[in-house]
Amino acid sequence: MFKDKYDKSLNNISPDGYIKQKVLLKIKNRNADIGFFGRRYVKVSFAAALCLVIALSSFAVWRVVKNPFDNKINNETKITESELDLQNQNVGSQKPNEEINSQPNVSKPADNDHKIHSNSSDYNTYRKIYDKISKLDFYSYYYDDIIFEEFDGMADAETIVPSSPPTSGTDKDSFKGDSDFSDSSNKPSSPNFSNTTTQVKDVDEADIVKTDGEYIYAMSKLKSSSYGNEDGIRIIKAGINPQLISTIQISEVGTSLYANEMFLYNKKLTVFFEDYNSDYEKISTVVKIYDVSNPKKPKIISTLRQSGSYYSSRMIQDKIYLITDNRISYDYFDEKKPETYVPSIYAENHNGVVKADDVYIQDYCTEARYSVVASYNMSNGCLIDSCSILGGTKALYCSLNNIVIAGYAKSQFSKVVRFAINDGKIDLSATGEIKGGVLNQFSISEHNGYFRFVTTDRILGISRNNLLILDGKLKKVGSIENVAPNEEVKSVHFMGDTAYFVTFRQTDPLFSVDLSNVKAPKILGKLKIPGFSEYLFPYGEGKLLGVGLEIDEETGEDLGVKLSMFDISNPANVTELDKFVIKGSYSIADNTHKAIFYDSKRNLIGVPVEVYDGNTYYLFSFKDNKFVKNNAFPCHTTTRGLYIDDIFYIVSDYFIELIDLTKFKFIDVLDFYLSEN
Amino acid sequence: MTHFLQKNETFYSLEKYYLRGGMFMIKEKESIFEAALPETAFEKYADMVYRLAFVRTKNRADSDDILQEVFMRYMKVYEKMETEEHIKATLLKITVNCSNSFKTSFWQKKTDALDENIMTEDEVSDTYVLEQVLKLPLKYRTAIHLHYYCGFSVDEIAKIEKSNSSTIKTHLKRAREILKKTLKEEDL
Repeated sequence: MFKDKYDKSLNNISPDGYIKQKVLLKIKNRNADIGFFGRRYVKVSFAAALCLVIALSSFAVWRVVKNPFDNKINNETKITESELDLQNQNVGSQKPNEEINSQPNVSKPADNDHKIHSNSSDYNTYRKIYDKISKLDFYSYYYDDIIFEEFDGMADAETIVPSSPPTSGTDKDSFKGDSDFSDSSNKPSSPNFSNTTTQVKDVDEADIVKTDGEYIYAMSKLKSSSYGNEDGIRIIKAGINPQLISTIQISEVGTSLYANEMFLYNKKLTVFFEDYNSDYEKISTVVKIYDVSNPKKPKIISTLRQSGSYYSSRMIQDKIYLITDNRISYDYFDEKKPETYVPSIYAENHNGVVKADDVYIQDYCTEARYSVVASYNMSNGCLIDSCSILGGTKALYCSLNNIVIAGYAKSQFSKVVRFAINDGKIDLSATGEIKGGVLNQFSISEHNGYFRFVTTDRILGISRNNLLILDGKLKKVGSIENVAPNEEVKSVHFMGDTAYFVTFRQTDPLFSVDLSNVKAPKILGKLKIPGFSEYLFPYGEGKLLGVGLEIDEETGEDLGVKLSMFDISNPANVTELDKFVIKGSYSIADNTHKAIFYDSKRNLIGVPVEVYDGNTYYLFSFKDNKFVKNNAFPCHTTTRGLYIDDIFYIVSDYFIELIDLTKFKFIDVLDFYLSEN
Repeated sequence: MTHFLQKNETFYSLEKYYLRGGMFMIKEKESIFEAALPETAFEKYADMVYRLAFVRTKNRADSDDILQEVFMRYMKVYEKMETEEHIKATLLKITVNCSNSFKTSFWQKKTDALDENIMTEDEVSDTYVLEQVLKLPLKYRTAIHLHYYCGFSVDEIAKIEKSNSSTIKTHLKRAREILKKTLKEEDL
């Protein structure tokens, strides 16, 4: 058995006796540090008392000096973008444990943001940043689920308020004009091909497969090794007789570049890589922009680099927003070298550390990593703007006007940061805190100037869920809290003034929430069905498509990937029109929303699923309130589906299958390795 | 699929633990304190921590440093441990985090053979399996180690690695696929 052999081979791996002794000694003497007082108390007690008195008095002086600013800020209600220089605000207790007992509905006050003003670029301008970082304690994040407090039973704060169905106008308006709504059938001009499944209309998300209607660009490994780094992009001419036009090798074996995903705009491909240097702290994201106007001869036009591992990216027209996660470590800090504690960017017009102005350090920070948000112009590889803030990124939401980052949940709260974006300009607008942690990008939404979040928080192992509405300054204006105790949010979909979210423990209540009154959101309805949806997508008028897993209510056994179609024409009374369980499957292949294809206008849904003996790509339609399985085709782990005219292309690691959309029959397959040899 | 059953069981057992009543809670806390002390935890788990560090860094010197660093950090939080599983999970979480902040080229060494100094001649055959696992990318071998050696379920691994369970499932599946090829005769 593998386990036995593995266990056996690890038996030889043990720490040396003397290392163990060394550590054990340190552990046993942990109290001895304080003990030096005892050893030399006669000599040093006097000196120690003196130091203590000096320390206390200087601390008192500091507090007194601070106070005048405190009162000033608490009265300030307007923060314009030019006045982001927030002085010390009274954060309240540094131990959130105590906060929880009082007023559960009061939002946490904003914490300290210090914008460092400076124009010169020598290391002195970064000194303030260095000083602030040196004082932070990054280890307290281990307190994640370790909250000790009085717990007086489960608060059941679900209020299901029966309300009259919305007027027919509301639903249709939010359907069309809502910034959250994205459906591949909604395209600006009338090209007859599909695009990547994204969250927000007109905000593109990077993916491994892109098309412009004429060519398909597919990123995958060039050889059949599953973990080599010979990444390549294949350019295929689409049509009844597909042809592999060229293959660009974008990284080589032995180098440290690993390709992630890419954007396509105006015959330019922007490809994101991660560069794993030998120094972990120096992981950076490399961006290569290729000109593919001549698909037979693609060429590199720019190479950019940004500190940190690749988190995500967005594209709005030809402006790219790249978000990376840049870890820093005390071991490497050098006060004289800002590049050891401040992110760096290398582009056509910028070489080195970012401006001190663009770096934000919050006082109460527990993750030693920057979220670095930078914008680039795809046409010329120039950096437009950047903004770095200390604190990890759990989820990122991007609309046409804002980027919202939600951090990891720590002590039941997580930080949120709002950046206003405009044609590449990035400005930190506000920071705030929300109760609980978000699941992914779909848990965040922007609508009419308000930001809505669906979160899950945990105290003593019991999870509860919340819907929070924050204003432009990320202050809470309304919320529904402590919904579905002991369950976790699995999927969320915001649609204008209504929100749908699914929580799960064994059954899957799909909640529908009315958000039209931002101060008082209301749960309109709750639909209980087995299993849960991992993704919710709008599917034509009055319908919501859920893709997730079916779970047996009795045994908790996983029965397979499930598609559900919900009738949401009356949010107060959501019903499940039909469901389809793909037996024998256990997961969506390459589990991301981008792997799922849906187009309500063409009435087509494509889902790749992992099955024990191979993967399969299923094509469905929804007719007469029932799912119709059109056909299923083999595929590999990383698969995307797209259509151009009347042909559906299943683009997988090693081949592209062509399917005729009128009869759902297999037309042809383009095998990459055969074509290349 | 048993992993969902385990997930429910975890929730249920925590619920029983906390809702059973004040007296029970206090008793559990006391008995756990002894086990959570850094000295006891070190005796029990030094090897476990060292082995995870070794699988991640492939380097004995770094693993020694990580072993020390992990228990130094553990000393700050040992008073907040609730159960034996919690101790184990916390130590492993700290190990994962420490091994992240260490200078190692885990991607480059992927196709290299193990350091010659580590094994003696007779030990080589026993370590073949370990060698193949160490050739996997960092995330895959971490998931394999935590699952097969430490015995964690997918959800527990997801908590330790701060990922979600579907990512871990994918890591395990792909790692198994690779190992199937490289180990050939094994039945995973």
